[in-house]
Amino acid sequence: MKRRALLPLALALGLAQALTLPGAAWAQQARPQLLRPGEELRGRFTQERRLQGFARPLRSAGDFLLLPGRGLIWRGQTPFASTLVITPGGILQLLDGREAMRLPAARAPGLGRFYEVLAGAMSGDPSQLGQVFNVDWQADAAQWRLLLTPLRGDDPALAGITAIQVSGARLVEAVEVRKANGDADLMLFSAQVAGPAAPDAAEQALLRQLAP
Amino acid sequence: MRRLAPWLWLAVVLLAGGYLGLRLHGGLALQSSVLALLPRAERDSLADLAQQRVATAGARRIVLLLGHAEAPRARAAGRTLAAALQASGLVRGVTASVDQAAREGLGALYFPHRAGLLAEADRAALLAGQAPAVLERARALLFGPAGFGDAGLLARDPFLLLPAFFAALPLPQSRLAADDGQLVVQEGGMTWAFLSAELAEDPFALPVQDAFEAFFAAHLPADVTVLRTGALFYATAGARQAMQETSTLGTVSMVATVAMVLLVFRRLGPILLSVLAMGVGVAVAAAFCLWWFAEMHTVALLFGASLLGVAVDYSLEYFASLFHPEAATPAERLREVLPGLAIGLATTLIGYLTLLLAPFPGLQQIAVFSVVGLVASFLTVALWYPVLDRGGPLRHGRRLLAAVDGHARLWEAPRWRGARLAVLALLLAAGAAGLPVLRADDNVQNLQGMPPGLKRQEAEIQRLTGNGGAAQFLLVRAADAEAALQAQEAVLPRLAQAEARGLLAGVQAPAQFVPSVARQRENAALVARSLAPLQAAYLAELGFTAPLQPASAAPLLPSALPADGPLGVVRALMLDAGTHLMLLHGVTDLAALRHLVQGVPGVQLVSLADDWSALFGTYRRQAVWLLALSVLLMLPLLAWRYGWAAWRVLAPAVLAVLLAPPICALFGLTFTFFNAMALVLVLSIGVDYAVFCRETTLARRPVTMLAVLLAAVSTLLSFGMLAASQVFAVHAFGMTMLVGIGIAFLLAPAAGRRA
Repeated sequence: MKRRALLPLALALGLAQALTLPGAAWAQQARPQLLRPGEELRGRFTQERRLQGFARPLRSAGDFLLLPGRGLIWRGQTPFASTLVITPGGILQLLDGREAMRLPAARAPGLGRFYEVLAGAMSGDPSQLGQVFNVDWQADAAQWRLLLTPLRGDDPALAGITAIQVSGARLVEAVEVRKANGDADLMLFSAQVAGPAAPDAAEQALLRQLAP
Repeated sequence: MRRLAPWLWLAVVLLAGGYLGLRLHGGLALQSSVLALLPRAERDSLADLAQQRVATAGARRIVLLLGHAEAPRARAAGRTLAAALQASGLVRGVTASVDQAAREGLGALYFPHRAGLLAEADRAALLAGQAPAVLERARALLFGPAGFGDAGLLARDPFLLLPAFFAALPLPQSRLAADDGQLVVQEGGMTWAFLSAELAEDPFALPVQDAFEAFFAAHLPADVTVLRTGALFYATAGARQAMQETSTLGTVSMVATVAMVLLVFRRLGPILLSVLAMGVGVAVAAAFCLWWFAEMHTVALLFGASLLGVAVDYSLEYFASLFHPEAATPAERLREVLPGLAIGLATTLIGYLTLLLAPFPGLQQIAVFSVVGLVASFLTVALWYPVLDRGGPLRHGRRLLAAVDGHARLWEAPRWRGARLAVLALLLAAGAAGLPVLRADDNVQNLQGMPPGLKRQEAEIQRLTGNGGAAQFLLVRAADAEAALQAQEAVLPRLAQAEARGLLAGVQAPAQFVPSVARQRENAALVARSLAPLQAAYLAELGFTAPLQPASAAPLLPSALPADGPLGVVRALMLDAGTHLMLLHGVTDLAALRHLVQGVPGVQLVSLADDWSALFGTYRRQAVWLLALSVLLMLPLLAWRYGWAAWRVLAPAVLAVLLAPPICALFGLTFTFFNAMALVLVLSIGVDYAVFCRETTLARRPVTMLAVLLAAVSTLLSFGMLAASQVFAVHAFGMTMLVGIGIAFLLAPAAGRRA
């Protein structure tokens, strides 16, 4: 059974923003903004999957909403409309507003771990991240870059990932995930707004559908 | 004849004793299955087998949840305990983590046969002509954010149908999540690490229980909250309870009874001869029943022996005559009490014989056992006591006799009229107050008397893991595996409807894991018909250029399912090639479900707890009707002997029978089969007391009152003590006896002749 690589997503949409690093260098360096429970992050994404065996990359774009601790809503708009909801209860995919696939958390190895890493990092504790990855951090006054390489090559939650690179200024702007078979996924984020959590009724209904 | 009779009786007793010894030597034929209590016609050997299979498979499993506010601590505790259990040798297998090898084994099992495997929703969509929707889902997965799918998967499963099939598999432990490789469930700030194990040995064996108790005492960490369930824990609690109660209650009642009889008579004879009469009764009854029924049910033995308890009253009635100065010889003593004993025996026999009218083997065995035993005890008293009893009349006890006669005066003297009415009014008021709270209860789980602490933990584990113990299932019978799978495929859509209507929470059936060969062929044809024509355009649009690697057409067969790992539970549902079980989880409306599957050939709904509860309910109602009938049957006999005064003889016992259940209800007791059985005993004993009081003369009255008092106290000491039991059924029986016998004793002298 194919495993879903969820960590890249976690990193793209929360971990890096939350990462705190020791040392006085913080004062001069660009650093990610912390996202706390009760807040939200909205923005637009473009994704490019460069897969072996395909003539061209699979490109998609849309918007997203991240509510730390509650879940993620990922709404693709091009090339076609689709909605994916990920919560601690599992994964739900909707097409034309109808349920196309539902995967309870029990069937997604690593989903619980994913939330633990996410929650740890959100609260400013990167130690969870360090249990899974080698963490390499570089930053100047305007930009930062984080390179993660798995500590264990066979971690089942990582599904063949060899490296994850996250970069940004205040918020995460780009995530690149590379796999052993040569595949790579690139995600770019823009028009991001962080603020108090204010999911509308439709978004709340989506999250409720996956209540554990 | 009079000289010969004791010897004839000895010959019969010896014959019975020899036969009993012979049968005991060959291993006692005791039946303990609840199913054996069902009327013969309702029994079905295959359903029996299925129930046994489900029960034993469940009995060896234990489930623990280790909870802690910090997830890593909970996980570590679970991991450590799992390793210790594995190393202890007490269990055959432990499941605490996502078995990566087993998961990959699952993939390896299904992947080659993917051509014929479709999720039910996909099948429905394709049948409804919604192939584009299935195709769009595959596309959305590929374009989605979770990085799902690559060339390798797409070449083998272009429409991503197998992942959908996997997602729809109803694997157990639906609420458990895999966390760092371990199975956990998180709720309300707590993380629970899951652990389930299969015991290596029988959980009902005492040494196994002791070994586990020691293991858990040594290995459960103090800082985590532990929830546990499994037959092992219930059995351990039950065995502990039973041993403790048997030793304390049994010792107290035995010592107190012997002390009382010794204190009153100041002689050993009455004790020894009472035990002899009881012993002969039990032995002859057991021998007769084993000969007549070929085997005996433990329930019948238990209740039969209880009903035989009446026999001790005959001995006490006889020995109380020792205090009567006018009865100098054993023969005179017997002559005095014999009419009372005979009428008492006759009414009791009527009471017990009516149980024979029920078409239930259990009640019939109880009736035959107690009737034969009672007659044997009576014959022992009547034929042997005059021979064996060598003692002269007793000279002490004048003050005792005067005191116990006060009980009779309460119901006779004009100046106590006010007190009499007050007692009656109080009893009736208590009965009336209890009537509104009186409830019948046949739930077998309540009757088994499971400790509430363990029941709560079980409910909590079921809620947290989403894994209800399935006490209901469909039994599918067909000629072979293929036919059995097809029958399930015919029922599954109906069950899906029922699930949508909230009648049940879920189904686990072999056909969901291995579709029939016919269904797999149908699925492959359906994909070829509806999706294949769209394939070229779809892959071209994606820009997919790698060569496709189609699956083989060989169907997956049920024999390929592994016996262990995540699919072991499915394999266990296939009893033999053509006999399969479909487990029903979280059933809320059994009647509606029964209706739904009615008329599907070869499919039968079986509900363990409900069937047993229904059985207990039937037994309870039967016992109550037979009780009423036996009162009616006693009337002619009593009327022949006492004329219009028969109602006075019957009234104390009938009042006791009517008032005991509502008064017990005031103490929170429900009305069950066990209470009904206690009432049968209350009626018989109550009528005996009244008969003894009616038969006595004014001169002999104090002696009779002493006999009745001793009888009542010994009955309360043996049966009433059971009210202190923690085992529900025993407690219910004891409480009813306590209240019923108390009332019957209190009112008995009202049946006496007026001076």
